[in-house]
Amino acid sequence: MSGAACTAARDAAPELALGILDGQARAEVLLHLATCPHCQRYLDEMAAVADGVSCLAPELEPPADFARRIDSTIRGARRRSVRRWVTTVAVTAAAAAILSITVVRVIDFHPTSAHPVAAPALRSVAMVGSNGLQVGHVAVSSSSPASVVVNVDYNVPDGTYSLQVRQPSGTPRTVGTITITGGHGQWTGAAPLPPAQGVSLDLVAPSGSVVCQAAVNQAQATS
Amino acid sequence: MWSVADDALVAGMATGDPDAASAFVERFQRRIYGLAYTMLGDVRGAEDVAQEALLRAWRHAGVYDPRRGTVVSWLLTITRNLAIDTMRVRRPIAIDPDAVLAWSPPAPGRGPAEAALVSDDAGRLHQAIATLPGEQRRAIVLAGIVGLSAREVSEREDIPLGTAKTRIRTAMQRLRLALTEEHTE
Ligand SMILES: [Zn+2]
Repeated sequence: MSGAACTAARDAAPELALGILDGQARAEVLLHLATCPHCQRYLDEMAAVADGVSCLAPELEPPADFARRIDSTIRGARRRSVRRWVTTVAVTAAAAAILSITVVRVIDFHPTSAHPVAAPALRSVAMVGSNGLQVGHVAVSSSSPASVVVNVDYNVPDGTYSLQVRQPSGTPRTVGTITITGGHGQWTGAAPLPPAQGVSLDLVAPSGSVVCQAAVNQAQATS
Repeated sequence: MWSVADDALVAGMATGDPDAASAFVERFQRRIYGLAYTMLGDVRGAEDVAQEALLRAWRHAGVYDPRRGTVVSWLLTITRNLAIDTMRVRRPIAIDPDAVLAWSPPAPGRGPAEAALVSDDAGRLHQAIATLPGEQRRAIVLAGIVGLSAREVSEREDIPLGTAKTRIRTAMQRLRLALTEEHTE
């Protein structure tokens, strides 16, 4: 351990490991970790503690038909290709290499108290890359077609991607393109989201591989 | 009875095997639902989060990388992130951190053989948390299980932000020591 950067990184490591550090502080620590294996090891230990703490939440029996409902969703959506995700490993692995799984959480989208958003009208859905890593958020309105705001903040290589709405059966439909610069990108627009389970909004690289996706089921939006 | 290893189940899901998925859901649903319920404090929200976490695990099974962590920690990370997202949209209800721990014996409702499999780490952590000063214990439960940020902990506990950060950090450092010390004995 040496220097002020190490001290700062270690001070922040517990919150980073717990997934509750955001914005500038997180970015600074991640930058340091990429160059400091000692602090990275320290973070890994903190991440193990954080996982252990999560495990201390009590195990509880879910509602009676919980497993059966998931089961039927899975069997219904089975035709959807899982294999295409395999191709995203190579794409995201390089970008993800410097990161520990527990550090990647983006919470930059949330309604502020100054601008309250009508709760039922807008949902925030996580955009997920490989390995459950979160790369950003999609805000979706319940209108039809839905107003969609895509925010990518992390872990997606710079470049231009097409945004596609995909459902378990049927061909993907391109609704726009998004450019990621310096790890960040935003897209705002309208997208027709079929009222069905298993609908996702995907970022698709020019090679055709899905880089990340958000599950934007309108069927779940009813509250 | 499924004696298949966790990561073998995930590998099975990656090939699109729905039976592997059923076994996976059966194995992890209580842990996932329990975490989601603890974080959100309501049945409906917990059900939605737990369901989405398990479906996400199914959809992303092909990119699970065992070198990056265990299946359990992968799944808990997914669940925690989903629950935190949900909390960002609607405020969490007040959960008493002490109640969470009282609620959670190291290996609830398990036979001795299975309890041993739950890993010594869980027992050690539970013990270490119990010996923390009350204020640190509350902070680590709020941050680590309920998923509150340091700022939210400071608001909930009515303490300065710096104090909340210090409590979280000190608690994590002590827990880390508790784990590593035990290992070297
Ligand atoms: Zn360092």
